[in-house]
Amino acid sequence: MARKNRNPVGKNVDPEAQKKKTRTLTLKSSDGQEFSISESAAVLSIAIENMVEDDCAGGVIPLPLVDGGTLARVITYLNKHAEDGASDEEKRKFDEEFVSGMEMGVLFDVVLAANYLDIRGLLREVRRRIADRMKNKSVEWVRKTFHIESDFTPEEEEQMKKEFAWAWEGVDSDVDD
Amino acid sequence: MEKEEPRLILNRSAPLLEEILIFEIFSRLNVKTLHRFRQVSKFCHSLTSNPEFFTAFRRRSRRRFLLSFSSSLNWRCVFHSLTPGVRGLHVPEIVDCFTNAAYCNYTRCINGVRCFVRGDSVVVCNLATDEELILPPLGRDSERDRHCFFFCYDPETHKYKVLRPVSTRIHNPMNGRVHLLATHYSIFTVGVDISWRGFHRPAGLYQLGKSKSVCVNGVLFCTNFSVTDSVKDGVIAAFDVGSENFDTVAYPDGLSSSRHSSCHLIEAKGSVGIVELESCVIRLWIKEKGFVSGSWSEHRIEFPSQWRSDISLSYNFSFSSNGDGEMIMGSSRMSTPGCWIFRYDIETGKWRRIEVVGLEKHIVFGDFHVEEYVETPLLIRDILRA
Repeated sequence: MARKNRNPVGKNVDPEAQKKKTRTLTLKSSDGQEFSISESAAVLSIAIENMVEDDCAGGVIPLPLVDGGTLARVITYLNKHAEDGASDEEKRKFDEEFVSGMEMGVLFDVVLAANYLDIRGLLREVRRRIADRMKNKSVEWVRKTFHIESDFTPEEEEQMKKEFAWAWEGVDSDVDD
Repeated sequence: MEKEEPRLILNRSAPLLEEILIFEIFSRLNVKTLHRFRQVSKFCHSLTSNPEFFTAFRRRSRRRFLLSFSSSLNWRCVFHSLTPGVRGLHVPEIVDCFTNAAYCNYTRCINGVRCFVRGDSVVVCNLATDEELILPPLGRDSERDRHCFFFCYDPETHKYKVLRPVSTRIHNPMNGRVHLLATHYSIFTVGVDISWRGFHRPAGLYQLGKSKSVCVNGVLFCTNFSVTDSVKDGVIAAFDVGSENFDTVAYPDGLSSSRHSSCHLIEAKGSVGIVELESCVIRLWIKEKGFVSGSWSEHRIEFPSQWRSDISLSYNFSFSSNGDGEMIMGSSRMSTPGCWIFRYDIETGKWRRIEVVGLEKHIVFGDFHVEEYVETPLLIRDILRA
């Protein structure tokens, strides 16, 4: 059995790590697009790492819950984080820029993919970014964006709005970003 | 309210995010936004109302520093909030809710809740929601003692208590004068008591500064404790918040008695610690195993030489600690603007420094205090019900 190695980009020249860098895997998105990625980058996803370790990764790994556009983004992230010699500072800057241009819908796609593929760092970054963007949004905006229906009566809503008036200060109008 | 568990109701065919992701994202909001979005649906309300959510929320809350001092502008206490960045200069934001009233005295925050005195009232306040709970007034006799009070918390029962030494007017027949004599304590359990309860223990607690008392794990420690019926030199009071019993703890042998009144109390490694600063050496004593019976272990900490000019002896200092095992040291000039925050990791010995700028308008005076603050999503009514 292969030894579990959570940090495949270690500094030591482990022959196993070297092999991972040169070995490539093929990931297949829900809409049939195929992407090549080095094993060392792919296994930053715990889900893919488990598949590789259990030897289920013969040939192509199908990812039926991730579409091509989202998978391309996720792979950009994985490649950066598996890159040799990328400093923590550099990665932090990359993460910042990576999520800052994304629209809310894209952030949702990426957070779902990161959750499904179990990519901890990406998941953390995107969840935080979504929370940041929600800061001045209205309740209506959240309902629309998250597709959540209200089951409060208008009276209950009015009552809560009155009780928590302080929570409504400085809220943007319902304009999507 | 509802008997049935609120469910996540989606208004379109495809579910957008799973419950766990909504939990994760909502636990990263700030308190104000969170309370607004609890109104999205009954599901969101119930998801964000359970203890598990509160724990996650608190763990992820961004920490801020709260700076407080008397301002030269109006001689009132001014509070500033500052979010630590990676490096560079930091301009603190003024905390609005605290600037419109003369808070002459306040305690350290416990779990994001602060206690202060405004006029004749003791007020318990959640800084994040800006909610206040005004406690019933004390009797007239205690007017002199309004600046002396202690805020403490018992983690076992989740109860907050306010402890105040009370003086009584005593007529001295020998010289005909009226004296105020500290005679007993008044205590109030938030969410339980309707009025202050008196308990007759000789009152010996006198509060001089923010860092002269600290509540650790259900025990309130306080320096400046005088024991009238004992010839013993000063001791530290150890008040058990749950049982309301006083005990005393001796100062470490290595700390000379002339420094008893100038040292600071902090929480360190889940226990109580005494900090003393002399030129550029900080001595930290931490109580080992057992608050009252344990021995003090001494740590000698050299202040980094490159920052020594930031801590001239004539400056004001403040000591506190945070949940990451760091000691927070604030240093401020007395009469010209200038303030620094230092963080020292007790485990690794690593120092970090933040320079605070933009306080020019308010020249810092008097009881200068810096502490790290984590927002609590608990409403005052949740605290009362706990």
